[in-house]
Amino acid sequence: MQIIERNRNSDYRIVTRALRLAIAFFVFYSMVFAETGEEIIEKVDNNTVVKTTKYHAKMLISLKGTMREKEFIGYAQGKELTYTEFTSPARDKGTRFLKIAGEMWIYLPAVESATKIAGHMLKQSMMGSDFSYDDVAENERLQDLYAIQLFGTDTVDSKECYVLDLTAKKLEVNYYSRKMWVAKNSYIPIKVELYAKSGKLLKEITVSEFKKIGTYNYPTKIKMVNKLRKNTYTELILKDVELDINIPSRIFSKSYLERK
Amino acid sequence: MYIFKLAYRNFFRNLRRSIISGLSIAIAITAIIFAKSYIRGITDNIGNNVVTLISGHIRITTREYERRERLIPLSEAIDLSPEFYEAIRNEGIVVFSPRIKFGVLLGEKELSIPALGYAIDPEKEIGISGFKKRLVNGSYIGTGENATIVGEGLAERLDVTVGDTLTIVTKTAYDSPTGIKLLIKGIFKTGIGGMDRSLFYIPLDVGQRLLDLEGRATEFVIILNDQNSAIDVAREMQSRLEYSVVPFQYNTILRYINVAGIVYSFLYFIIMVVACSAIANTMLMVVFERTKEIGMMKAMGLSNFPIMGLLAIESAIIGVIGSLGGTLIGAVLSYWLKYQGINMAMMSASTSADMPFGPIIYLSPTPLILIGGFLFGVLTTVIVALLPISRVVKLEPAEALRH
Repeated sequence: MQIIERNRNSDYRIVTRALRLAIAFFVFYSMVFAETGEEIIEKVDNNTVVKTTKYHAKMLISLKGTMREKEFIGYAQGKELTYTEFTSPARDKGTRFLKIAGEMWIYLPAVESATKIAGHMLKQSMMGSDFSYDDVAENERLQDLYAIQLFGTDTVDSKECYVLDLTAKKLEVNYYSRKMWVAKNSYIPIKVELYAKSGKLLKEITVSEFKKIGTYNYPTKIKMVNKLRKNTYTELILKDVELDINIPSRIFSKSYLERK
Repeated sequence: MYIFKLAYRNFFRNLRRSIISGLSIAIAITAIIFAKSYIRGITDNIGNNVVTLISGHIRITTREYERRERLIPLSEAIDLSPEFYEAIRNEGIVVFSPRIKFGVLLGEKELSIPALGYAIDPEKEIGISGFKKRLVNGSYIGTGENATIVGEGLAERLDVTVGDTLTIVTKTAYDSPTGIKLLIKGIFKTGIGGMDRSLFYIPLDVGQRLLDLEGRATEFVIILNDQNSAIDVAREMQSRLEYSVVPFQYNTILRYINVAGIVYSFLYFIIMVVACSAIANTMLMVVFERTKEIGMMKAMGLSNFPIMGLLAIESAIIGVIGSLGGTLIGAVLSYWLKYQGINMAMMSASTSADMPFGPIIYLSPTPLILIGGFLFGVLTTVIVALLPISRVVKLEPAEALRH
């Protein structure tokens, strides 16, 4: 009996020691190899900020229960150049936008000439959707614009996510602060809350689909909810997405905008 | 009775003094009648402008549009259905018309000049806002035409004229950008600086297509054959409609006018005080000048009461003659300016404030104003004369004679 007792005590000490070693190893590993907020956002930027892009898009605008659908083609190069042309419905067909740096021009077929839009209007709704012109044209590295803080983890739509808080480093940003849920497995921001400097929640974005294109995990289905309007949301579905292709420079010109 | 005879003879005893006294009263009453008629003319002018250019006798909008009207929410539009027209049916209606108000930014190189557009039924608006008569250049618009009439001030700001093209870029009721090129067919002038600098009008059907509002309008104005029935008619229509039905009397601008009426009343009160002091000054002079005479009357045995009565009747005679003269002059002047008008164009067009009246103010005298002015003159003359009279008659005869 005494031998059995001694053996049991010895087994207990071995197991306890092993457990302690495992916990210590795990903590050490977590501390040394855990990602920082900056590292996470760098991966997000690597997925979403592209050199050039071309796509077909469908925009579904829901307003007070009524659904309207619009389609357009988009081109973008860096953060300065964006060209958008609506192809449907018939009423909007041929409406074109050209953004060069902070300036935007609109071409309406009925007017047959380009009109410059005042700068502050870039923050207004694009074609009645919950996206602003700035939202659609956004293609800048968040690392350069925001100070980043990692809060922890959370689960969104059964996906494990990092939760980050981003606060603007400079005032020339579209939104003063953002709260992001970044999926751990894809480094796609699947949920983003956009805030004003006052702390008021302005918009909420959810990404429900993305596509692997080259080295990018690129969002292809994005829902935007404008929290300042009631009973409204917009879904943007990107199709035929091409990234980092060669886009002729004439696309981003007023002559192309005003072509007949 | 003899006191009346005495008072009448005393009036002519020093005719120069009586005439001067009567004249000052006449001038004061003329000023009062003119001021009252002028103020009434301005408020009538504003009221007329509000009815013809803004509200009609009754204005219908959605309740949400009324609540957020400053933002010009195009999506809050009235459905111009057969049921709607059935609900507003009333035999007191002379003419009605739908309108769409929309904001735009205009400019050749950059959209920077704010302007306000109205899409109107051109034929029906002839009987409401009367823009056809307000044209100073060019011709009127017609249904279906891609054309516009522009305020004179706006045309100057844009440096355009009849025959030029006006390019409009705005948003539809669903916030999508939209635009159109319009031929400037005519230039109008309301005389109201703020309106002439910012308004233009297009045909309703063109506006409905432009703004994605086919079959709808943001407001509906009604003109009645009896404007005094507006409140009752509006109440009746409201019982049949879910929209907001507002008679012109409840229009915000007219409500401000009523509040401004208090300010006008204060100004009118100032004029009356000045008039009173002019009359009082005159009567003081008349009474104190006759202190010796009063002393003589007291020494001869007349008591205070008949002396006061005599002087009061004399004052009343001066008051009646002066007030009659002032009322006649005031009436002639006011009624002449009722038809001739006072041209306020320079004041209205050059000021930075948006005066809601103009350009020509037609005075609005009434029999009540004339009678009121006359009675004011007579009563004031007697009352302000009684004060010095009562002081003088209390003097001892010897003291009065020494004066």
